[in-house]
Amino acid sequence: MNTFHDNLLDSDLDEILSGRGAPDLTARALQKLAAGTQPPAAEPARADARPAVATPRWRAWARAAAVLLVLGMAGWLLTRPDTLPRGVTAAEGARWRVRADHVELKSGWVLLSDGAPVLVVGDGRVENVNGRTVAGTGIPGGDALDPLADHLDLSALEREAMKNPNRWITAGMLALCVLSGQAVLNGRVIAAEEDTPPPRAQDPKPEDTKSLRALLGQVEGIELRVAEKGLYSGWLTVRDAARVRAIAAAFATHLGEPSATPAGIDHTNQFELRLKDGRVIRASVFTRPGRAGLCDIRLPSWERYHQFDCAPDLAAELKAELAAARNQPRLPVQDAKAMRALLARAVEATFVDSTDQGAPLRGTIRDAAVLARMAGLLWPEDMGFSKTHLAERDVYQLALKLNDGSGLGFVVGDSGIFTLTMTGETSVEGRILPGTSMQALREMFTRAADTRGFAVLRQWTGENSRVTRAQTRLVYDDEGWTALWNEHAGTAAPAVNFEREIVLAVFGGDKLNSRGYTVREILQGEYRYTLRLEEEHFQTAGPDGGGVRCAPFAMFALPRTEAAIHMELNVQGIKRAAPLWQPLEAKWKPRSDINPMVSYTIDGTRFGSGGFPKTKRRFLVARDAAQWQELNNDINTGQDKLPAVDWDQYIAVAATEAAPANTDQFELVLAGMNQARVVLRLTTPGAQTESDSESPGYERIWRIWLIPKPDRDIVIETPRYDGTTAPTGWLETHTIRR
Amino acid sequence: MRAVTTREEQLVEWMRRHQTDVWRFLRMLGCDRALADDLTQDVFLYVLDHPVADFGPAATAAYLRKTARNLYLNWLRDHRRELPLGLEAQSEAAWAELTPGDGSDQRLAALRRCLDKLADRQRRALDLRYRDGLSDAETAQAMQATPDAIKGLLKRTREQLRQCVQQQVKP
Repeated sequence: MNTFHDNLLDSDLDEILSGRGAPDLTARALQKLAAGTQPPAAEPARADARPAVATPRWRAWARAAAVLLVLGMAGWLLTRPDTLPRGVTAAEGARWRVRADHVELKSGWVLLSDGAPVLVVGDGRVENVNGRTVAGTGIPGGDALDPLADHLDLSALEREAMKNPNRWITAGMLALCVLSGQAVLNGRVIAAEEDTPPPRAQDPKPEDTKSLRALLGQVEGIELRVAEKGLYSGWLTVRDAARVRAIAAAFATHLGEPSATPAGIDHTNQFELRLKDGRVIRASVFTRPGRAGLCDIRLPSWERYHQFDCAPDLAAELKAELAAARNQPRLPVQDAKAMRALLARAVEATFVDSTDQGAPLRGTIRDAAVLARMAGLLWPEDMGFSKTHLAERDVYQLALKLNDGSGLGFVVGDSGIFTLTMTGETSVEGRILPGTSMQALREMFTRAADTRGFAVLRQWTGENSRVTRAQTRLVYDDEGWTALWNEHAGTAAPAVNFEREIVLAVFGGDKLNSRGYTVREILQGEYRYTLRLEEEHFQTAGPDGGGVRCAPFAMFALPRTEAAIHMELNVQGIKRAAPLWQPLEAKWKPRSDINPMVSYTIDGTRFGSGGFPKTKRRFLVARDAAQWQELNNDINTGQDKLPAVDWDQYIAVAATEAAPANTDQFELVLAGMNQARVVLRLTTPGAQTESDSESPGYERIWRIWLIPKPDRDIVIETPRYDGTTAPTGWLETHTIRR
Repeated sequence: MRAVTTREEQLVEWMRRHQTDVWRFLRMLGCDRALADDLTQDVFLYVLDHPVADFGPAATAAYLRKTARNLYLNWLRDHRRELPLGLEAQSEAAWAELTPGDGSDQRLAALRRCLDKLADRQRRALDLRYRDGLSDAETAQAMQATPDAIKGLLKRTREQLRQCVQQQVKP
C-alpha cells in the first residue's frame, strides 16, 4: 500500500469516525471572490506569488464563537481550532490539541495565566487558574529548566520557583507548578507560596556541628521504625512530650564531629526528627567494630546522608524506643507472596470507587473467591515504585477486614500510587498499582457496587401533567428546572441541588389509563447508564369501555454524572411475558475523556456459517470441557481440536440462527449490568419472520463467545423488527443462570 | 438547462458538484484539514479565471485534481518541503483505484459498510485513534496492549478495510 492509499484511508476514517466531514467552503470562496483577491497560479512551475493567505473561515468561526459564548469563554473568538486560546502559552516542542471545552496537552509544557481554559494531561485536570501556573507532562529535568523558563518568558522569581522541586505537584502524567495565585488540580485548590516568601532558616552545613546540635535540640516530634531481616516495622510515634525532649537533647548532646573515616551505612533504625518549621531531619544510629558510636544524619537540603561520630550514650538513650519499634507489627512488603497471602486473609472488603466523579460506587465484598482474586490485584508481581509524593485525586478507598479482626486500608490515587495503612499508621508509600490491576479492581467494584451509587434519588410521577406532548427532557440547572416544572404544573418547583444532581423527565403525552412511570432497573454500561422504565397502567370499566384520558409523567432526580443517560420503556403488552425494551431518546452525551465505568470482555472466538439444517435461533452454554465438546458437536462447528478454555474464568455461549447469506454481522455486546444481572444484546441481521428463515437467501450461521464466568444472571436480548431495518425494541430472550 | 450567467453562480455550481472530491483529493495528497480548506478554495477560484471547455464531469474532475495537485506542489515549494516523487502518476492512480466514477461519497459509503464488519477490538482501536485522537501509546494503554500490538492491529485493520473498500467500489 503506497502513501496515497494510506492517506486516503486515513482521511476517510478521520471523516467518518471523528464525525467531521468534508466542509462546505462555498461561502468562504465567495467572500474571497468578492474581496477581489487573486488566486495563485496553478502551473507546475514555481508560482509567481505565494498562495493567498487564507481568509478567515467565517463559518467555522461563527460556529466556534457560538459554542464558546455558550461556554462563557468569549476570549476564544477568532482562533483557528489548533491555535492555543488566550491564557495558554506553549513552550517550544509542546504538542497539544484544542477541544471544544478544554486543551489537551500531549507533551511538553505550557504556561497558564488568568482566564486559561481547562487543561487536561492524561487523568490530570487543571482549571480556574488565577495567576500564573506552569503545567506539563512531567517535572522538567535540570538541563531543561532554563530553556523552558526562557521559552515561557518567566521572571527571575518565577524561574527560581520552578527550579524548586518542592514547588511541583504531580497527578499522574501531569506536573504542575503554581508560580503565583492559585489553580485547581483535579478538584483541589493549589495555591502558590507567597511571591516573596519569608526567609526560611537555612540548613547548616555538615561541618557546622555547633549549629547542627542546636537544631537537633529544637526537635518537637519524633517517629522511628526498625528493620529486621530486611523488613521495616510500622512507624512508631513518640507521643510523650518529655521523651521527645529527652531524645532531642540526647541527639544534641552526644552528636560528635563528622567522621574522618566514614563506615558503611547501617540504617536498620530510621528516625524522623521534626522541627517546628516543618523540616524533617533523618537520622540512623548504629555501631561498628572499633567505633564508639555512629550517626548518619541528613537535613532536607543535603544531597545525601553525612556520618558523624557520636557517644555510645546516644544509643543507650534510644534503647527503649528502639525496642518498642521492634515490636510494631510488620507488613512483609518486600515479599510479594507473603503480602498476597496476608491480603487473602481478608473476610470483607468495603470500598468506595470515585473514578466517576459524579457517582461514586460503594459496596462490600464478602465472596471468598473475589477477595482472593483481589489480593492478587492489590499486590501484583509487576508493582511499580515511585519516590514522588503525589497530590492527586484518590479514586479507590478500600478497607480490608482480616480474619483475625485486624484491618488494612488502601488509598489508591488515579495514577495507581497508593498508601497502605495498618493499625492507623502508614506502612507503605510510593508503591504503584499497574493499570491492569486498576482496571480489574474497577471491574470488581462495579460488579459488587451497591447501585445506590447511581440511583433515583427522588421522583415525581402521576397521571396529569400539563405537558401533553410525548417527550423526554433533561434538566441540569435551576433555570431549566423552574421552567420545566412551571410547564408541567404551573407551581413552584421542588428543591433540587443541581451541583450534585440532574433531573430526567418523561412525558407520555395525551393517552389513556396511565398513572405515570417508574424505574424498573438501572444498567451501567461502559459510558452510559440506562434507565429502564415501566408504565403504570390501570383498567377501567364502563358501558363503553370508559378509558380515562391522562397525560402521564415522571421526573427522576439522579446523581450528576459525566456519563450518557439512555432510557428504555417496556412496551411488552402481554402480561407475564418477557419485557420488550424500546429505546427512548438518549440524553446527556458523554465527555470524550470519560473513563469507562465498566469493563466486560466478550471474546468472539469462533464464527461460521453453512450446513444444514437452517435453524431457529438457539443459545447453548458450556461451563466445562464435556459441555464444550457437546456444544461444538451440536453446532457442528467442524472443529476436531477444540481450543482450551479456562473454565475457572469463562463460560462459552453459542448462538445459531438463520441469517442472510454471507453476513458476518452477528455480535454479542454488553448493554449494561447491575448487581443482579448482566444484560447482553445479540446484534444480528437474522430472520425477521418464520418465512425469512426458510428463504433461499438465508443460511445457518453460528458464533461462539467466551464471557466471564457469571457471578450473577446473564440475560441475552435479541432485536425485534416490526417490518423495519433497525430494531424497534429488544426482547429478553435467554437467561443464563449464575 | 439554464446557462450559468454570473461568476458567483458558476463558482457555486462547480463547488456544489466538485468541492468534496477536491478536498478529499488534497487530503489524500497529504494536506491537513486547514491546508485542504485553503487549497480547495484556491482551486475553484483559479479555475474560475482559467476555465476550460466542459468535456463532461469526469474530465472536469480530472482537471480540478490536476489544479489541486499543482497548487499543492507550489505550497510545498514555498514552504521548502520535500516534493514527493511521482506525485502526478501515483496520486491519480491511487484516486482512480479507490474512487468510483460517482465520486468519493460512494467510497466513504463503502468504507462505512466495511467498518461494520470489523471485530469489536479492531473497531475500538480505530475509534480511539481517529475519533478520540489518541496516539499509539495511549491507545495501547486504553486497550491494555503493547504499542507494537496496537500498531500491528491497526495495520492489519487498515489493510482489511482497504481490500474491502476496493472490492466494493470495483466496477
